[in-house]
Amino acid sequence: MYTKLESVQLKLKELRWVGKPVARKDGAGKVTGETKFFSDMALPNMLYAKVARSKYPHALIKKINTAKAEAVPGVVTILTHKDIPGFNGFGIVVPDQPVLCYDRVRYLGDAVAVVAAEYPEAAERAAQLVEVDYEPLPVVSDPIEAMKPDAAKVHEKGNIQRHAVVRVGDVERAFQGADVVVENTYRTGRQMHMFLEVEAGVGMLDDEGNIVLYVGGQSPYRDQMQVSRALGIRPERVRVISTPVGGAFGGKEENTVQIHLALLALKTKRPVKMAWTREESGVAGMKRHPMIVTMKTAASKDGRLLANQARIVADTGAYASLGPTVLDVAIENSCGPYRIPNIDIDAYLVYTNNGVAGAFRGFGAPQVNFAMESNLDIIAEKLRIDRLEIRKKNALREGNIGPFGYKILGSLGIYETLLKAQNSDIWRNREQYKSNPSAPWCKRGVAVTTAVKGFGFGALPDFGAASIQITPAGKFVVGVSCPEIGQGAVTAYSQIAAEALHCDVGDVYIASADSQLSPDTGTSSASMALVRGGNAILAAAPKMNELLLETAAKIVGERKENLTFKDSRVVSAKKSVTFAEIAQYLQRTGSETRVVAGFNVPRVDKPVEGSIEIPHWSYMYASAVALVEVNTLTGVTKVLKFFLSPDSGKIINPQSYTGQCEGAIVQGLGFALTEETQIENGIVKTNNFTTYIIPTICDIPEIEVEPVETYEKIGPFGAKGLGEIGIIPVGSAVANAIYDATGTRLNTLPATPERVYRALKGKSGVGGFGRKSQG
Amino acid sequence: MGGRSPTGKPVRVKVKIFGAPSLVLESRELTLELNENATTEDLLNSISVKDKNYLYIVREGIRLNPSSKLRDGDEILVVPPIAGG
Repeated sequence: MYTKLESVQLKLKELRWVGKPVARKDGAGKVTGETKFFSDMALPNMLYAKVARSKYPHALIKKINTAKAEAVPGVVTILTHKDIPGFNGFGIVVPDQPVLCYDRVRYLGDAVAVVAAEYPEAAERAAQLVEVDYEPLPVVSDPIEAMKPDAAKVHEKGNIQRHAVVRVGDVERAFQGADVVVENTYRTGRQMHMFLEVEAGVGMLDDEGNIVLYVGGQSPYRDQMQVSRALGIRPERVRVISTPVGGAFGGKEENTVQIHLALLALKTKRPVKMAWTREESGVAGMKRHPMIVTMKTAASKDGRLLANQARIVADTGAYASLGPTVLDVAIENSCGPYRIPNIDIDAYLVYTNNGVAGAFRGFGAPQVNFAMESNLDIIAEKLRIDRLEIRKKNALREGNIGPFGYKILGSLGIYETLLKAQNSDIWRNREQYKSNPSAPWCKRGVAVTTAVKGFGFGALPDFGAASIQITPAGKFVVGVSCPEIGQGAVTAYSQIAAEALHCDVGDVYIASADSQLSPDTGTSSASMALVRGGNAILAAAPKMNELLLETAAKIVGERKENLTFKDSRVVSAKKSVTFAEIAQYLQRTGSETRVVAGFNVPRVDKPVEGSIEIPHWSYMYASAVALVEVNTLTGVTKVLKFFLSPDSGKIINPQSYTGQCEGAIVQGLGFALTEETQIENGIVKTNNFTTYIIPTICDIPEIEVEPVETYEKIGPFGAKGLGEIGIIPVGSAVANAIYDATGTRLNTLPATPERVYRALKGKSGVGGFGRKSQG
Repeated sequence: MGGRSPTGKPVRVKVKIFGAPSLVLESRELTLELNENATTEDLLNSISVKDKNYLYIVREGIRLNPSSKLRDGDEILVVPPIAGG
């Protein structure tokens, strides 16, 4: 596993820290186990909290009785909906989920009461003893059925939370004039985040009675807002600290334990800890939206894409969470990074009683990517065009108009990533690899697919700020609120700050994700933490540099214009003053030692009609190549080699870059092959690692990452986002490679052994269709 | 509070208001004239928006506090909390 670095180092040789493999600041603590996460916290006088959750996937609440639960020795308090002083709801985009249910439960994870006790066992027992009189309601488990007018309603307003229609051109006319038209329906699974650290945190009061939350989340300020709204207090009375986080992947972008902890801390005036169990996380936590995508794609005989029509149904479960914007990203990515003049997308976000779906790395893109890339391979085969060539032919190029009728403004390297894919070992030697399976009953296949995704919130308003303070020792404390969720943000911020402040990377301390210490830099989500935080630092650094120069000029008695920076000093032709001396001067004179600056993320004035956030200002791109081997006797698919070429702009830290890509690929392999939360009639059947299968070290293929470094003018030092792009093409690459190996095309992911086996046996309605033409 | 002071020098601020992200995305733009010591709280009291306590008031990429003083020529974004992908 490696990243080719030659191009990185050539272009960035004039930079001292950016583009260099600086060791992760949080690396040693994490690999040695010394890092303490919030689930490790233990404080004197601390209580333990447990949520009493619904016993039905859908039911009316007639009565709640906590008397038996309160009698459990060690129980300190039990809260119900009556104890919520503010707004009883949460949801960043649509706050439709009750903090504590009062009239109805809509999934098994719904919270009815929350207990605080002296011991975890007492809290657990009391939660079990909360008595609720339920009147069961019909369970809505099929999103297609849920859309029918006579379906039982999950919410009063009906089960279609959002219906979006985006049209460009005239697809029907294009279909009539096309040489080939392909239409299929694809389904994807309900993937769980399965972060190592489950949802957890500790809540307490400070000396002034304000709420302090140490909690694993993806944005302290969004958490602050949701907590203060539920408590009916000013946001300033809630401090949220959210670093380090033991994995998130979108699953901690929404409220999980935050509001319950705040309510209990306020009531008991003692520290309270809540850590969900793995099973609880499986039942109550967010999931990736399962989608049903019917896609009809047309091309001319020379392989030019002419039209794409898609009907997308996304199962958001019981509550909207971030579903409305997930639907937008699904729409935006349904046409891939290709020039397609005629588009017709009809997308639905549907309520059911199937858990709750929300943000998950890729945010709706991997699902539709599977459909688009499968259809494209089918078209290529029908037209007898090479699968890589058809992608090159249609790939967006600089200056092109994107699929939704807008000009692509950011850097655009999809074509170049395809060239990398073409030159990859797997693609060049594919026939040789395919001819040497490990057993006579095994078949090998290779496929190439592409991906695109905007970073940031697209047409939605977005902004971020950072602070820089110089300490008496001449070092810098940089405040950025995007949490370190494992992506390497703290190290990347340090590199950017050190470069901009002319100091050693070790002289930068990142005060990360603390709503009291760091200004609002936004969320660690949407592959945006690096760009938003990095740009905010680059906005603040000139202010600090100006302060340093002005102060140094006073100290050395020279004009500011004659001074320059060199290795944590300000120097003139004859004199030199260290940053420490400048800081001490500022302190002695009672001067300000901290600067704050921010930036507004560029956005278009108006989204594409019918959408919320389309288009994004700039996009990440990738091409992927997979080599798989399918055991035709068992249906087991093994990915042997995987190649990824991302265009994420300039690389800030090659080590973190490779790590992000490898992690994304492996998580994508789970999406492709094994990961699917089974929910039957509202009951979660796979809520732990025994039944929900994620890739292990034994399943990880040989991975090669070869970046294309475009220069993104709105990114810090030309960087774009990276976190999500690597996962998006994995499912489609694996599925297309299975077809290349076996001649059987799967229309459902994950490609579990059962699905592959039954598809190979030609069983109808089990996830496969089409047999490869011979010759 | 939000009106022009009869004695002080007014500050003119351009305000872009964004609605609930799932419903209204095009910004409403207006120019307000407030008194010289006007704060973001005064600004919010001058416009018709819901859930004032939980809106983000942004100047040059920086969120302002309720007591932050406005400056003549400011461009202010009034934004509901947004997240996404």
